[in-house]
Amino acid sequence: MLWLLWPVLLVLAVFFAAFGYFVADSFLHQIPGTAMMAGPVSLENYRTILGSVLVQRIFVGTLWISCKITLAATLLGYPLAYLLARTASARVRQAILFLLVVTFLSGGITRAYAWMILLGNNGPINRSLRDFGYPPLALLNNETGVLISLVHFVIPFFVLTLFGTIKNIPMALEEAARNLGGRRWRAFTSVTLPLSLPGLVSAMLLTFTVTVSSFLFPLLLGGGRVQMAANLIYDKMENSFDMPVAATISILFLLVSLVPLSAFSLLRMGLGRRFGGTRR
Amino acid sequence: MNSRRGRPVNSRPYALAVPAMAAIISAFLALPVVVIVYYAFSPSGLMVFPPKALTLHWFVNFFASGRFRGALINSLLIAALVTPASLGIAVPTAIALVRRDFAGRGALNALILSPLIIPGVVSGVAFLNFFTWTGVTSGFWRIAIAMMCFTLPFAVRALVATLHGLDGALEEAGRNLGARPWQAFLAITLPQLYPGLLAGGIFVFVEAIDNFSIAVFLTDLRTTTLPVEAYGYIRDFDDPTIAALATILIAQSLILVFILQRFVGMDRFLDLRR
Amino acid sequence: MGYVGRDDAPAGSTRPAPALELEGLEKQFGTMRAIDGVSLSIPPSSILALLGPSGCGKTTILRSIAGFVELDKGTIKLGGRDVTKLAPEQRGTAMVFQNYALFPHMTVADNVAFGLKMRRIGRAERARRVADALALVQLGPLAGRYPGELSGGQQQRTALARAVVTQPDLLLLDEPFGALDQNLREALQIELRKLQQRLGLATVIVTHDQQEAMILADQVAVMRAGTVEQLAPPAVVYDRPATRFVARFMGIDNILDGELDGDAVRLGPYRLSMPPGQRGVRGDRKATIAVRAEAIGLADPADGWPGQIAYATNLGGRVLYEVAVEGLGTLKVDVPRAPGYARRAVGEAVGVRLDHQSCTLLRD
Repeated sequence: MLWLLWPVLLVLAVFFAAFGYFVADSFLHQIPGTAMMAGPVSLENYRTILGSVLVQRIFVGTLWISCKITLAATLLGYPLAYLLARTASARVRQAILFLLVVTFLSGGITRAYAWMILLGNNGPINRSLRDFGYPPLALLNNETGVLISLVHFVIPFFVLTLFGTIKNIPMALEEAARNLGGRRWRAFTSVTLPLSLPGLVSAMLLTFTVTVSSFLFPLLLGGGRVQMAANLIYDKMENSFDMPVAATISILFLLVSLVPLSAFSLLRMGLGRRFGGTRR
Repeated sequence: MNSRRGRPVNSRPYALAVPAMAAIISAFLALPVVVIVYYAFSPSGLMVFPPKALTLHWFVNFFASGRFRGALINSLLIAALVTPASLGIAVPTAIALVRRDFAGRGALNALILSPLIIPGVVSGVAFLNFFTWTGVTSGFWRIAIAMMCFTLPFAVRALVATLHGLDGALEEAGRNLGARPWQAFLAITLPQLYPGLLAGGIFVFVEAIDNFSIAVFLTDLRTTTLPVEAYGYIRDFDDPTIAALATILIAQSLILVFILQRFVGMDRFLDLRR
Repeated sequence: MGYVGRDDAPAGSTRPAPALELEGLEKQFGTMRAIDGVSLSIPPSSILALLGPSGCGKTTILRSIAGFVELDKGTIKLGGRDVTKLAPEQRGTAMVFQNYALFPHMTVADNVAFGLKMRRIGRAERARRVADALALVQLGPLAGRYPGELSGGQQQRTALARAVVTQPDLLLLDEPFGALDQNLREALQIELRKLQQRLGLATVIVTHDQQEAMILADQVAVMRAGTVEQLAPPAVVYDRPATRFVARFMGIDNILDGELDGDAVRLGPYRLSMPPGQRGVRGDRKATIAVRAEAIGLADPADGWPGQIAYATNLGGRVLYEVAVEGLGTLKVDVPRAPGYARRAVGEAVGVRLDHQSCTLLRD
């Protein structure tokens, strides 16, 4: 038994040892002007960080942006997932899947850079606007750019997670609803939508997780004006190499982000229990 | 518009709304990919349409640059190291999780998957701190070890899903026909794990190549990776060299999708993601 | 061990060791006693059916014989050899799994060859034996197919060929016909019986289908809650069920409670004399009788126990009546229906006649 598990236990030991050191160091202090740390052990970092208006604003802002993006991904992703699950045309299905998976596997740096080019002052969008005599739009180096690019980044996660659940809802249920006199929209809202809730919550959970920890997109497309929690941590390391403070912010942020995540998880568990029997 | 009341149940507007939206969203998905590939071949740093000429200049620039060549080699080496290691650890883990019953199985599963919900930057700083304490100064090994921890959940997930789909009686049938436990594993279970190995391997490989938020903390003066180097380049220069890199990564993604379609099938692959 | 010497039959005895001997098997899963003290043996070349509803422990017994279940107590002997502690691959049993467990990534021929490969049988002999086994189940032309490309019946025959090709000491069949439709099932059951007799292969089959047990088995062990309720040849189990449970399981509709009265049983106002061997099997004065609906006849009211037709159901070749018998309750009566047969109307007065030869006194 144990011989099957010792490799993974070793990896987990490294991972959690790293976090153990990390937590321990959040109680120390940087020796000014160096990258070294020293005691005494205290909760002072936590007091300072929790009292910092800047940190509070960034934490709240990060959660708020994540909510907006999760909502946008839901509105855009649900129809796509629905079509993907229900289309009779294998070719349409294959094409959309292909697009999603290629986008998904092409990675973050590719897409962040692509949106930088697309949304930039000299990018195709603003050039076209100018050619037609309109003033250019400020799409880059602000929240708009971060939102657009992040929504694009998370849609494959969202759709690929939700699609399976919708596919597993028997077509016959929707047909039964229509046979009983419901219009297409009613059949959807009273049968398909509720039954897809477990998958929908899973997809939103994943989207939120990915967004809340986003770092590269605000870094490249925010132009320093959009600070998310990850960027704050990065700046603390980059500018002052203050490990104890970075550790404190990291741990607090991890705790803050776990609150909505656990709420989502509990919701999904509840839904899973309720719809467990009909899902497959 | 005045014949609304007589509309049949299976009305055109409804029937068309979803596909129309899907088409628009698909276009939104494809847009950056198309634009960046086009940009990579455009002669000036400006996007002009229709193109006056196409050029491979930015690809040449990419491969000629010493910083990118080193980063490319590092990224590939790390991915080539992490992918088999991750799968090699994930196979026995998945077998224990699916086929054995032991106390704390659910908890172990949750622990293994936990790196997925920890923001990359947090893991990155934590690893940097850990490696500073333990004296691991080589950027290569720091990134490789961190990637190992971070990609393992992808591999375990894919293999657990594959194993769940396998009939446990198959291995018993092998034992009944005279195979020792390891023979039954090698001859019967392992060959059927290949969809999980391939899908899990692709996730791990792509993540190991593409990861930025952890790797950016762990590089050293001699060792960087492609995304970290690309970020540095974007900060300093404004030309399509990174578009050439992006195009290469898109090509890689196309190849991987082709492999998946050929050997696993797209539907199967998607089932293995969860 | 309390029974040293049992393994070695006394000198001069010519009786061969039983193909399978189970001695005091016990197995508990959590709080459930899956096997609760089972002992039985089967002679060489014969088929034993473990028959019972799901959850009665029959599959657990089969899996413990194959070595997939570790017993809490008891010994298992194959041909006199104690295999209780051996690993599955060392036992020399061959099993046909419930859903066949064919290796999906191997062809039919490779599936059949697997056991021979594991036994390190040379290439030439392997090929010959695989071809023989496939010919035996008429699958020769499909040797190169993959399991996914076979019909249900073909898959079942592949699994059978894969099992018998190893020349096992004991063949184990776990609901081997469960996944097949009715017509195919019967044909394959008869085919399997012939094959088993030709090969002289001792066999244990697990099934919940009493008809399957009738067709295939030399001995039937009817199981309930981890114990053997009755062990007997199929005809005996069918005609003379030992207990209420077996009677119900064998599809006997009429189970009547009465009292012993000398050589007879008193059922309400009626007296039924019992044949020899059917008297007083229980210690007390109570008596329970099982009688098949087919063994009851209908006559004029004066010629039997008086009753009234309460309901009639057409079963094609037969008619099933529910008859309310005065002072006794409702009996089910199954009457053959020849062309021109006039069905009795509901409410019609009839006389019910029981053939005492076909009544069985139950143990509980």
